[in-house]
This record gives sequence, C-alpha cells and structure tokens, in this order.
Amino acid sequence: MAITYVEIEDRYFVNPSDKNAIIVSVIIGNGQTGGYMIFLEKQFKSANKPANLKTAAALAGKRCLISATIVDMLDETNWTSIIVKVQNGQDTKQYGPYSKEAAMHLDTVSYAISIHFENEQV
Amino acid sequence: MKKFLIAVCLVCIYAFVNAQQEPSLNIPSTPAFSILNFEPASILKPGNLKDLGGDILNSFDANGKLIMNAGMEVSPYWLSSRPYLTTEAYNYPKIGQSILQTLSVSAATIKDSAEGKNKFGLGIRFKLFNGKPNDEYIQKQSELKILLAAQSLFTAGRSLANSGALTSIADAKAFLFDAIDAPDQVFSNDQRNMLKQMAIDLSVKFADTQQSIVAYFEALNNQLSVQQVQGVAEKVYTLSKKRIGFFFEVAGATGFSSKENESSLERAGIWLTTSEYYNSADAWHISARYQFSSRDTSLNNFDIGFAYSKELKKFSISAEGMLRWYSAQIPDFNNNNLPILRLEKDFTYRLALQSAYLITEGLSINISLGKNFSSPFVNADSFFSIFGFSYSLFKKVPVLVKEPASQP
Repeated sequence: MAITYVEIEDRYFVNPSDKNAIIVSVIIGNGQTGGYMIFLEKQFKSANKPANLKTAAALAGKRCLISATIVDMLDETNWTSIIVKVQNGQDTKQYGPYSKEAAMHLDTVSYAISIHFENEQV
Repeated sequence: MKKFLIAVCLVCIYAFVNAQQEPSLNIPSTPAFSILNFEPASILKPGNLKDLGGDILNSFDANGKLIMNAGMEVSPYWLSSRPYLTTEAYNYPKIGQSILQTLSVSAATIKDSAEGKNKFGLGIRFKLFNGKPNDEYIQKQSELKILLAAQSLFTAGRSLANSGALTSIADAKAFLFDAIDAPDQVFSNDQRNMLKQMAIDLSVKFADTQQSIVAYFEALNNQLSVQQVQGVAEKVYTLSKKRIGFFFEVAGATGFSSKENESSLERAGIWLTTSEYYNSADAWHISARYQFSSRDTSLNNFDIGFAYSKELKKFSISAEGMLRWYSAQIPDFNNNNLPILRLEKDFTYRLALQSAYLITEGLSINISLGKNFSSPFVNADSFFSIFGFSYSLFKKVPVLVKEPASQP
C-alpha cells in the first residue's frame, strides 16, 4: 500500500467587514473511501465532518489546512479525488476537483490542501 | 500409490469431459465472448479514454482490417475520473446511477478456420438494482474512515513541516498530541493511546531539521498503514463483494459472421436475472434468457430458471431448476428426397444439485447431480453426475513489507 502525497495551495479573499461564519466541507469522490481532518493554522477543527471556522473577517492572514487520505478500494477505477467547499453565508466557493490516480489497487493518496485567507483588495 | 494417481487422473478427465454442461443461471460475465462460445487469447480492458483510443487503433492491422481472436471489455462510465460520486452514492445507487456504474460493453473477434468465416460478437451488461452493503461492511468502513483520518493527521503534520510551521520534533509531537486529544476528535481512547505511543516511539529516530521532521510524519503514516490500515482496507474490500438485498441484472449480445462480401446475424441472446440475498450466505435467484442461433440449423431457446444457493465459509450448496421451450429448424429430406426444413418444437427441463467443500485454501471437492436438457440433435441419457477436485496452482503469497529505514 504505497502512499502518494499531493500538496495544493490556493487563496480565499474575505471582506474585512464580513461577519458570516465560514464553513469548510469536503467531498471525497470516485466512490472511494477516505478520511480527512480540517485545521485552522495548527489548531484541529474537525475530522470527517464539515468545520465551522471563525467569522470571515477574523480569518484574514490565516491558513486553513485540509488533509485527506483516500484508499483505492474500487475494481472499476484507480482514480481518487477531493473537492473542498468554502461556504460564506449564501455563497459557496469550490476548490477542485483535485484528482490523482493510485498506482495500484489498495494504494493510498494523501492530499494536503492549504487555503490562505486574504483580505479583499479594494 | 500408482493406482491412486491413476484414479485421480480418471476422475479429473471424467470431470473435465462432463464440464461441458449447460451453463447455470448466471449471466455471462462477458456476453460478447459467451455468444461466440470463445475466450479470446488477449482481452483489452482500457481504463481511460487515452487507453481506449490506443486499444481501438491497435485492433486493426496495417491493412486496416480487424485483428482476429481478440477481445475488449470497457466500462464507459469509468473511463474518466468521477469526482462528484461519493462512496454513499456508489454504495446505494439509484436506478440510473446503478446502470451507469455497472455498464460494461464487450466485443470479440474470432476466425473460424473450419468454416472460413470471421465472427464478431458485441455484448452489454448492467445492473438495474445492485443490492446494498451488509452491516459488517458498514461497520468496517467506519473503522477504516477513522484510521484514514489518523493518516490525514500525519499528512497535515507533513504539510506543516514542509511549510516551516513545525520547526522541531518536540513541536511536531505537541501538534500531534493537541489534535489527538481534541474534544471533538473521532478516536477512541485506545486509538488515542496507540497513536500517541507511536508518535513517541518513532520520534527518537528523527532530528530537528525540516527534512527529518517531514520524514518523521511519513514514517508515522507508513507505520499506521502497514500495521492497521492495510488489514482493515483488505477486509472492507472483501466485504464490498458481499452485498445483500435485491439485484436485477440484464445482459444482451449479438454474434455476426462474415465471409467475403456477405455478413449475417448468426446468434443473439438476452439474459435477465433477479436475486435476493437475505444475507451474504443465502440467496434466491430467478433467471430468464432467450437465445437465437441461425446457422445450418436455426434454434430458438427460451429458458426460465429458479435457484437457491447457500454459501458458508467452507461449504456451499445450490439447487436449481430450469424450464426450456425450444424450436429448431433442421435441414432434412422428405419422402421424395427433396430438401425440406423439419420443425422440432418441445419443452424440456434441467435440474441440478451442486455442492462444494473447501478442504484447504486452493483445494476443494465438488459434486454435481441432476438431469440436463434434452436436445433435438442428440439422443442420449440426460442424467449427469460429476465428482471432482478443484486445485489452484497459484496461491496468494503475503508480501512482506519492510519498514522504512530510520532517518537521521
């Protein structure tokens, strides 16, 4: 069961006056089985369920780290994939899908997706 | 000893000769091969669009003619990544999704040297209903998700170390302990203790450099994978094959033959099977199939079958009955010695009781008893009994995974 690592970095712009809570959720695709954790900086926020982060304004300058481990269980495909959704009130921004094909059946792909919260540029 | 070996050989030969029995209620796994009664020497199974394009191009020779004695099996839905298909949607598919994810298309070509004809078969197979996972699978999959979350913790640590957010092994351990002991964490107390002990045990082998801290998290990930995740993942995979509930599977195939400038439909078939698995051991099956063959003699078969099967750890038994209505048009001569087509119509049935006992891994003893279909072409005793051994020469050998070398 070889492990392949995938690292991705992206940005999310927040309005300094935005008081909405930011909710981060994860979709593991291709019918595969996976587990994940969500961190704000080094602080654990949730495992295998969506995380409610602070208000958008308080997140500027911080990093949300989503790490997911997916094992290829299906005979039909070796593809693994992950989608991260960041919900701010009624707005949802999607990151991905990020996909990686496992080299062999029952191999593991570990994703680390960093989303850097930055203030909107005026 | 010599007599015993001769007896075993005779039993094997007898079993082999009698293995030419009518196929059971099962839908053929590759209908295109089944309709041609042919198993190709090479079967192409492209897993993505690029491979499919290459395989189609490679199916033709330099003169643009189809290569004979070849087969291909494709699952169109799985030719590309399906990032929006969750494990829940895959495990509990609605009818449309079930058809998509189980659809397979097969094709085969064969050169019939005796008749000087090229034959081409095309088939499809899909499930309208595909049952549901059993309770043990659901429990083991939940267990696996927690272990994969633990691996995700190590992956997060690796990423933080890569970005310079963790600068020492002490920092790395503090990060791990904080996350493991977090109140909303998914781990049981035993799992928390196991993960913390693993973090302590491995930490002594690594230094306070960025490269070594990254290697520390990778070593933790590898150790958890080898010691825990691998076993649970293999169990989940095995259990994923033991779905229960209602199944409805459909298959169809056609076979063509061509010679010079003429081509014709030679065979066609459609198979329908419903099954109800009360648990992973007990199941009822109802099957219907229609097969048409038009060669020198044309033959139409319509079968309806019923079966019960029980599969225990070492012992399996199945009882099946199948009713057949057939009509055949056979070339013949009348009293004036003029060629005619003689029409034969009849009803026949097949009853079979099959059992197998697993003596040891790879070696099983099998017995089949019953009455086979009567045939309009053969006048023979249709009762059969088969006794035989099955032995697999190639056994699975566990791969010993060497632990990663410790980092400085």
